Amino acid sequence: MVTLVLASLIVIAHDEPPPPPPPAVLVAVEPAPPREPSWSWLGLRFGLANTAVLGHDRTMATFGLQTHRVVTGALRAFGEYELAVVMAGSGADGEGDWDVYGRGHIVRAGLRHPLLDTTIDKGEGPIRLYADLEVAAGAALLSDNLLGTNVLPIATGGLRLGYEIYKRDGGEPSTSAIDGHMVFRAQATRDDVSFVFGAGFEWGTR
Amino acid sequence: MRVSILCLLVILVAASAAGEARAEDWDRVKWPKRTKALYLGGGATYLGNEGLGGPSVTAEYALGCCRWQLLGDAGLTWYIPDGDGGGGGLGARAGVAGRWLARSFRADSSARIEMFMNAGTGIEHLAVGDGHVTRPDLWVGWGVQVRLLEKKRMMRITFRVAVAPSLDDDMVDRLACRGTCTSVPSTSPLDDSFQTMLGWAW
Repeated sequence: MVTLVLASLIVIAHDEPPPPPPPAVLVAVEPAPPREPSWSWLGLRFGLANTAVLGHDRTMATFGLQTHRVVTGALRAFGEYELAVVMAGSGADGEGDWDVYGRGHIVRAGLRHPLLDTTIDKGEGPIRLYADLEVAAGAALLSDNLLGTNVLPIATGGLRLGYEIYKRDGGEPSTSAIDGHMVFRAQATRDDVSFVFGAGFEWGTR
Repeated sequence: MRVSILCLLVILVAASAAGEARAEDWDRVKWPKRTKALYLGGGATYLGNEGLGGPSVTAEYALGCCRWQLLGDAGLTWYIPDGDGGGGGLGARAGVAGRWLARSFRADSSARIEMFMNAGTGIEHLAVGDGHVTRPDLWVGWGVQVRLLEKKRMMRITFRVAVAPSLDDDMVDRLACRGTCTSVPSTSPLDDSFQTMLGWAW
């Protein structure tokens, strides 16, 4: 019996210790690069438009305020307000003396995406040239001395041609930019489809 | 009449007010501490659905802090009479406003291109047609300016839209039409107006 116990102890003494736990696997994770703040744009625009109100032609000079931001990738969302100076002749198709006058307020929101763009950089900061396709929807509140006040739902689609200059301060990334542009739009109301032109500036910051 | 004289005095005082802006104030994204400005412009004021329009001259004196300005302005507008003599006369306006330097882009060492937004309130005296009226207004506006860094001048185009309490139909007839107006009567409690001005600030 004693021999059996001693033999067991010898066997136990010669057992190999249990293997150590595997070392923890450390994976080096690159810290995510700090996300660049997105550009915020604010600007103004002067425009000319033609539209029909209850079948009567109205010409408008507009003074606008607009903003836009990048939504995702190259897609940008914009919002606009325009004050319109309404003019027309009292003839059936707006002809005659400019004896019809009024004013209006137009709001619209939409999306734009580049059809073509290219960037030039000669060291002072990149200059981006672009041709964007844009669509938008909104409403116009127009009032004049002949027709009174009318609300028109509007939808627009067209092209925006322009440039963006990003100013580089020393070696730092740009924090200010300026945009000059023109818009050529078709504007649909309940009564007709007309043409809208505008030219303006926007300032970008981040 | 008293409002007109007061406006004229404010224009003269603002135009001659002393105080040079410091040089270092001009090349920063902030307003100079003190500026004066003189504008020539034009616009239209609506009385109901009747419009009055004509050229204007406006002067302002502004105190700047950071990206904000507090300003006082006064102006005179000559409303051009229409064919039957209605709507012609003089408007005098004085008010106070705040202005925010919204954006500034330094094009090069000589100039910045800037955008600003502003809003204010004031009181206008209209002496047009066969009557006169004094009424308060509220306005918002925006504009663009080129800040010339070496010359310490700002060339500015600004636009504003204002609202004022509407007048009763009889008063509109007296002021705007010298009789009975033919336009569709307005049902709005507010009359609006707009003005575009080109000016220099220093």
